[in-house]
Formats: sequence, structure tokens, C-alpha cells
Amino acid sequence: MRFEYTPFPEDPEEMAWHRALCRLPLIATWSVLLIMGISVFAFPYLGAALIIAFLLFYVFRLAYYGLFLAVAFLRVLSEERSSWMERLRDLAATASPASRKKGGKSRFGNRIASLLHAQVVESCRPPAAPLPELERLLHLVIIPVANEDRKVYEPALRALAAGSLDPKRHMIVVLAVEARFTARVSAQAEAARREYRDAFRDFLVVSHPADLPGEVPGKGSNVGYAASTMTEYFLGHSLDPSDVVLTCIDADAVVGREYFACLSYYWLAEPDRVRCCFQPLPVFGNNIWKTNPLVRVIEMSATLLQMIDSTSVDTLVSFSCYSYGFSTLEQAGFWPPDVIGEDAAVFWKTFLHYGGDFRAIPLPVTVSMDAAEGRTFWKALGAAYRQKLRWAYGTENLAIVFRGLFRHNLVRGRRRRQAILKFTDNALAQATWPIILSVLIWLPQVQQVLAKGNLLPMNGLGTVTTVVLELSTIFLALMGLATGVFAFRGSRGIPAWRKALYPLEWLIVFPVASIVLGAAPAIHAQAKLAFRKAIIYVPMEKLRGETAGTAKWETENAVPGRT
Amino acid sequence: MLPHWRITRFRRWIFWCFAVLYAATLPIILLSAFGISRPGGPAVGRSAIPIYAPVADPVDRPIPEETAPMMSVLATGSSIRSAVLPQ
Repeated sequence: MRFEYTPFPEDPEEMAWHRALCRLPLIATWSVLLIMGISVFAFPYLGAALIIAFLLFYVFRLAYYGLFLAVAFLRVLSEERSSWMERLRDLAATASPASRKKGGKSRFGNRIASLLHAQVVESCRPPAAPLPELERLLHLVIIPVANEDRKVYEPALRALAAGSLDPKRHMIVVLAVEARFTARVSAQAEAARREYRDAFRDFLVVSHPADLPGEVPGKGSNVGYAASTMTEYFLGHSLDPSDVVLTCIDADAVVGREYFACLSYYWLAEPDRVRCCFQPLPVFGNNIWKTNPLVRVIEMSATLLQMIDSTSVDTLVSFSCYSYGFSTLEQAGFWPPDVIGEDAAVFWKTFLHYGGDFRAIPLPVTVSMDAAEGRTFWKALGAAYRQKLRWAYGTENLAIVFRGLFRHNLVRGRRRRQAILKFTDNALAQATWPIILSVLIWLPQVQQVLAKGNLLPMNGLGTVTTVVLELSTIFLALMGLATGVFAFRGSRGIPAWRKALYPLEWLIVFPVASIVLGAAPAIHAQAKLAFRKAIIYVPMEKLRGETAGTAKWETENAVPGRT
Repeated sequence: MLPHWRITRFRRWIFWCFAVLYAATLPIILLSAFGISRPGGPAVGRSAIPIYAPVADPVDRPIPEETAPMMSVLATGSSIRSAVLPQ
């Protein structure tokens, strides 16, 4: 029986497997929470032991995260100011960059960047296979537009047109609009095409028809439709799809001037470029100072988690804005049209298609996007909750991938184990950790009061809890300071006292935010999945231009040279 | 080797180091928290790391030789009392 990457398999037996696997995350989450909670009262020894085991695991995880967060920061901050065009020329000539840059600045970051570049150039020298020609490389950029106004994607187009890698030679832009929304959206897209067509090699507007069979309305079906139409375009224009790199960016995403030079650099240098995708670092920083502190810390924590993941090609998965070889996607069948979370879905679909021999390569450049916002505190919170619910609904991929792993044996060995670990960790960490750390670890104290302090075996737990919470506080403060690097970039005009309070927001707000915008939407999504309640894709409301500070953001983030 | 592969290999190595370290530390912390690792063997009802009852554990204090008989008498008296008197 053939495996299909869909949440609606036609075979009844396959469907039964799928339904059972959909319930797995919810069962696992509640099992963890209930076993820990009940055992504290029913079996105090066991309860204390479980909580101590978790807290120790949490401390090790913090240390592990902290170490690789430092590595990721070192890499991104060292490399983001590099001249990627210059590096591309080095790569083509396989020149020795380390010796050439000796006379340059001796800043520590520059030295790290030179060292990394030297490693890349060295790996491309013979006997390595010859690199593809840069002149033949073509970037296809798809921007999905649902009901967004032109002023939302205008900065994205402007940033693409200002790219250092000649967009007139190397870039085709596609605005993928949804026909189900108003004619105004299509008219605005056409107007944008007329204005920008000379800035790129080509500029197309592809309208995705509504209600196509087998599709769920969402970004995945829209982008997949646009990409599939491009196959004919390349045939018609005698272009080789294996020279095309497809980049999918959100309508509100602004790439740096050197972004495509960096992408081209890693595309050329990666020997196994057909079996990988490329993932920049998404920073939800466009409007970060316009939203409320709860949303701010959660959005920034998403960037941090992505940074940590970027230190391992074993765990990184495409997220939000990403690039794939066109022929790679074409062979894998593009995006699954009936899965809501399209970014992870396209990764896992391709992963299964290539039997696990597929990875996401981190790019040391950032892409700036919008954080959830609203006209009032509660509307912003609601928008953020719906966004996190949609992200958490990505657990849908667990059931499909596990079907491919366990029922069809599509992947074996290390990559199989890594995928299982990744899904298990993702499903449990977001849903259970905030609740354990905020509620369950205090239950032994309640138990002590109820038992009138007679059960002393739990005494040691107090010390462990105190030490762990102190370490967590230090880690949170460090996270606040670290994310300040990104948060303060778009903060021109923000009073100094607000910036000074930013690390404090992490200490005060994060514990609440991790439950309200972390555990709650995660469990909600798991419940929806378990009880077969689909979520409807609602594009996030963008308030660009409606509140003060927007113009400031547009000019700041579209600065040429920032990557 | 490309930089992301070097970092990945380093991370794989650190992952296993942390896993081994965790597996080695957990029993020590558990035994310590339950007061089992102390000299003198298992002691149910005591903890090596008292928090909720931070007062010194009477079992831990060395009992001077001259007061030991008195302690014994008190303990015996307490036992008789609890046996005789209605609870």
C-alpha cells in the first residue's frame, strides 16, 4: 500500500491508525500531568522522586540550551554583517579568505566569520565535486497573500528589489493570492506587479482558486498551487528546475539585503543540496514594541528556540520562511494541500519521501516578521493565542509521520530515532513543562500541609525546587538580555526606561505567558486533534499603518545591508 | 566539513555527555534527598536536605553517654503512657 502524506487517508485501516495516533499527544500530556499530580498525594515517595527527576532534567536542559544558545548567538552575530557577495566570489574562485582578510578588522566576530568562511571554501576545494555556476542560479520567491493589504507586503517587495544578488538576473517573484478573498486583494497584487516587474527577472501573480477538491484552505494549499504552476513556466522558458531555489516567505517578512547572497552561498557550498532545505532565523521583531509584554516575550522565545534548533541539522525543521530546491520539492510532490501547518508539513513530507535522508540547513541571517498584535490588550492576546493554537496544531504532523515510520517503515536508523524524539519532545515540552513548573512542583507543599507535615521524605524536594527555580530565574534574565539584541533593533523612539524594563518582563511575565500562550494552546490543539475538531486557517490581522511607529519600522528594517 | 555539520557533531557529543551525566546524577540526588546516602544507613522519616522541617533532626545529634539512660527511661515511660492511657 502506498503512503500518502495526508490527514485523511482513504484506506479504512490507515484511517484507524491515524485516528489512534492523533490521540497520542493528548494521552501522553495528561498521563504525565496526572501521574505526577496524583502520585504526590497517593504515593508521596514516588511523587517526590518524579518531581526531583523532572527538575534535574530541567536543569540539564537549561544548561544544554544555554550552551547552544551561546553557540548560535556567536555564529549569527559574527556572520550577519559579512559581505555575502564577497564570500560568493571567494567561493567561485576558491580563494583563501583567511589570508586575504588578515589586514582587515581584528574584531573577534570578524575572526570567527573568517574562520567559518575558510572552512566552507576549504570544503569546496577538489576533490569535492565542482560547484554549480552562480550565473545559472535562479531564486523563485513565493509570497502567499490571503486578505492582506498591499501595505503589508510592500516592504517585503522593496527589500527583495534592494537585494545585493542582482534581482533582475536571479529572481522571479510570485504573489500567490487567494481567489476566495475580495477582488481588492487581486487588484492590489496586479498593481504591485506593474510597479515591480522591472525590478526582477519576472513578477507573476498566481490566483489560487477556491474550493479545489482535496484541499484545506490555508497557506499550504495556496503556495503549493503557485509552485505547481511554475513547473510549466520553467518548461516554457527553457529553465532547468534543478537550478531553481524556491523561497517561501510570509507577506509581512522582510529579508535583509544580503539574504539571497547568503542563501546562494550555502546552496552552492552544500554538496548534498538536493537533500536539504535552508532555514534562516525568524525574528518576530517588526512590531514587537507595539504589542503587549505577554506576546512580546513569547514571540521572542520562539526566536530563541529556533536559534537553539539551528545548532543541529538533526533537529532543525523548516519554519515560517524557508528555501528548498525546486526539483527537490517537485519530486516530493510540493506541499500537502490538506495540512494547516504548511512549513513543518512540507519538511516532513520531503523527509519521508527521501527515506529520512533530508535535513534543514541553518542560515546565519535573520528574517524580520510581525508579532501578533491587536487594537486592545485582549485582542492582541486573542490573536497571539489563535496563532499559537495554529502552530501547536502542527502536532497533526506527528500522526502522519508516525504512520510513515511505524506502519510503512519509510525511515530507519538514526533519522528515525531523531524524528521520534523530536516529535515526543515537542508534544510534551510545550504542553507540560509550564504546568509542572508553575503548579505541580508546589503540590508536595500542599500535601505536607494536608498531612500536617508528617511525611518528611519530601523534605529534600524543597531544596531541589529552590535551587532549580533560582537557576531558572537566572536563565530567564539571560534570555531577556539575549533577546534584547533583536528586540532593540526596531526600538527607535521607544523610551529608554521601557527598554530597561525589557529583561524584567521576562522574569515577571514569562511564567504566566508560558501557560497562557504556551501550554494552553498546545493542550487545546492536542484536544482538537484527538477529537477530530479541525481548526480553520484565519490569517493574522496586520495593523500596519494603523498605529504609531509603523513607518519607523518600515524604514529601519528595510535598511540595505542589514541581514 | 561545513560549519553547521561541525556544530551538529559537537552537539551530538554534548547530548550524550549530558545524558550520561544526568543518569549518573539522578540516583545521587534521589538518595540524598531521601536521606539514604548518609552514614548510618537508611533512615525513613529523615531527609538529608530538610526544608519544610528545617529543625535539626534529633536522631542526628550524638547523645552524650550520661544522658542516654535518661533518654531510654523517657522513651520507656512514653511507651507505657501511650499503652495505658486511652488514646
